[in-house]
Amino acid sequence: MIDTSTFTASKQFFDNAAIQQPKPQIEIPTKDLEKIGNVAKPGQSFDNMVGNLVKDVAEKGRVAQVETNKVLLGESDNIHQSMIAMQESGTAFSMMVEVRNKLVTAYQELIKMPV
Amino acid sequence: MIDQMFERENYTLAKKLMDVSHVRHQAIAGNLANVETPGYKRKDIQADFATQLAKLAGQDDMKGIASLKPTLRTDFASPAVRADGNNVQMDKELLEMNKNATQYEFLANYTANSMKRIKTAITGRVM
Amino acid sequence: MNLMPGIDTTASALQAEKTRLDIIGQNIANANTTRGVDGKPYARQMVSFESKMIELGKSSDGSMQYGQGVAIKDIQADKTDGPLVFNPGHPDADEKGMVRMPNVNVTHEMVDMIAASRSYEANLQVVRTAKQMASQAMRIGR
Repeated sequence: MIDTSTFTASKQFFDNAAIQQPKPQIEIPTKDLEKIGNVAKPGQSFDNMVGNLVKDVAEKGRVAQVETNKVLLGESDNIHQSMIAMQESGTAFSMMVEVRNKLVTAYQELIKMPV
Repeated sequence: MIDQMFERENYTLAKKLMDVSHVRHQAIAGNLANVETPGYKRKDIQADFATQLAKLAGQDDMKGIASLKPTLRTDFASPAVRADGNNVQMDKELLEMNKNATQYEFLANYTANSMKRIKTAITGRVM
Repeated sequence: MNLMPGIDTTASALQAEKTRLDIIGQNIANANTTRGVDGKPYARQMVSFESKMIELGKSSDGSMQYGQGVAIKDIQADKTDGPLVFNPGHPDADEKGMVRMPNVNVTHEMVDMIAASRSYEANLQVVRTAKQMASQAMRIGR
């Protein structure tokens, strides 16, 4: 199996960044963070996870395209929905690109390992 | 993974409330357009929307929040201000419109900031 | 492409209020017209409004959203008689020396005019706010 230590490292970095939000006086609920952290269910294979990621990103891209199309054709005047959908799709895409970068780095490190 | 990234409570609430502000502005525009129409009754968002939203937020039901629809209801409870039954008070409507616009601006800013934070977390560079 | 919320509704209101102001201006201008086109004194014109459903575009679930705009139902002449004024030298004086003046009460028309321009100003404010909301929404991407 591919050593996913750098992938786990990037996930850790993401979790830490999500935790370092400005702290209000009240307790920050940790239920949101647990939801983000629980990405892999036990027994789910790695390529299933990557496949789901690509499918989610494609779905976000489709929603953005549909919303913008409706605004351009004058069928809808919800420009905020179109803007939000575009931003979400861009963010999801860059998440996928970062995951790919980390996987490539991991693979290259693996190749360098002496047998 | 992607859906969980965007299903945080405040962010989902902000998106839904932007939709509500948008619909409410249309209702207020209609009320102000009809300030001189005989017998016109003012329209607004359904009165129990806030309580429904609070209940869904308390139950952590993100998909429920995303599917809650703001609808316009005719407001018969306001007192008539003219003899022909028109119950639109121009100053009150203008005030509501300004409140609504400020709320929309706040929500747009919050959504933009949320997005920037996620991007910073993903790319590692400060946006 | 309709980027500002509710703009068609407000456009209908601005149009209706402008017509109303035009009619009031016509009434005031003709406050002393004792002989109109048909030979009778000028009859004051009255504007009546009614609500009109305007298509605003589809909402997120595909159903059409409607706004309630306003339209001028009709412009009718006020059939009440104007006051009779004693003015024997006037070309339109009848055998008793009385002239029938138009039924335009200038004070009444001025009050109407103030109400119409307040309405117009309020609807302009709605347009400004809608434009502001649209530019706020576009800052989401920045």
